[in-house]
Amino acid sequence: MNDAELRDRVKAMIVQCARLKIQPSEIKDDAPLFDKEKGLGLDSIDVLEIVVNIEKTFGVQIPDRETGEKVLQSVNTIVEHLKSSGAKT
Amino acid sequence: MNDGALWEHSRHWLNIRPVYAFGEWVLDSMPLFVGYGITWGVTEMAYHFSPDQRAGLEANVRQVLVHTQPMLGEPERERQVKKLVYKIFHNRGTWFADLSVMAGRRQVSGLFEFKKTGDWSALQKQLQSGRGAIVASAHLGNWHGGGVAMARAGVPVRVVMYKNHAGDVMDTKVAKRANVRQTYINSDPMAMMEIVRALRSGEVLAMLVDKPWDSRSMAVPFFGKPSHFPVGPVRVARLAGVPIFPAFCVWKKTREYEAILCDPIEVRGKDPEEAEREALVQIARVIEKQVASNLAVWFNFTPVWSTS
Repeated sequence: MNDAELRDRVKAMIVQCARLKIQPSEIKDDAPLFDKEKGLGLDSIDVLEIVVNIEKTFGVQIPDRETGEKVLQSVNTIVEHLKSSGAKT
Repeated sequence: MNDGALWEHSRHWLNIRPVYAFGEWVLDSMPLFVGYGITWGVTEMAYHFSPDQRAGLEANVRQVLVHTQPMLGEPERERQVKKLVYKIFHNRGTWFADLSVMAGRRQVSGLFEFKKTGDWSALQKQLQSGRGAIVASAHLGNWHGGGVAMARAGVPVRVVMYKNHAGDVMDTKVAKRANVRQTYINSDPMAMMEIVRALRSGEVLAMLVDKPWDSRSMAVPFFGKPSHFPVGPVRVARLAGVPIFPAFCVWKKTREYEAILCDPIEVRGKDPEEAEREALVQIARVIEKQVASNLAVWFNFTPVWSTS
């Protein structure tokens, strides 16, 4: 799976987890996940859904808060983490 | 997030940090009977000068009586509503006094008695599996006391909560003295990482589940009418694969508490949303039963059915 395909899967997962009423393709690669005005405005429950889904879908854990803060910034940072952690795709 | 109608409704001239700090100092410094006496006086004032909170309580108690005692005539019901609301205000004063003592410098181990009822072995069994659990409580009795009772029973408990207008000052002190951990969720989305880690390391998360502080809620039957309950606790339980134990800490005598642990509720099913709804229906049913049995210590000053 190439980077673009991985990005599309991550976007689709975010839309599904957060029950967003937008198309995955509408999410910008660098849009901040938690910013209500400039980004997607996700909240703590969305974080939980995304973390659990990343584990189930890609077999990659986000074990603690520090890692979460680095990884869950945007689609780009999630994709980077999946690639560097050897995600199953 | 604390930005909804409930947050606004919980504003009160007594619910500010300096009042809590002063009250705690008075109760901690004086003999107990003086402290309880002063609390009675302040509570009497609060009863007369808190029209919104009184109206909220009256509406809640009225609906409970309509549902549990349908044969009651309206004049008799209204008489009971007034009597109960007055009693609830004064019980809330006792709640504050007890909490101040729990938070203060006094030796509390001999002052408070917690009688455990329900099947506590089910919780122990769950913890032995290495996974944590969620304990769901309500604004009934002394929920902080419930945390203390759990910690005394050797349960690794973490309270998950929103910041309050003032109450968190005392919450933190009570938690520290009792070895209860705390996580504030508020507007920090990453707090959920701490929660997941805690459940995976076998901690018990204690949450108040009877007020929807944010927009994520679901209406389920409660005393015969739909009422909104927060979705967060059942979603955490479903995603983490842990059961929810409803639990309550009620009292009928000063400083003598009953720590009730109810049977676990699993959030499972093919359809996730339906599983969450079913779990919320069950939780509401358990809370309903406990509220009906302990109406005089149901401290829910915000109208329960108005958000439906």
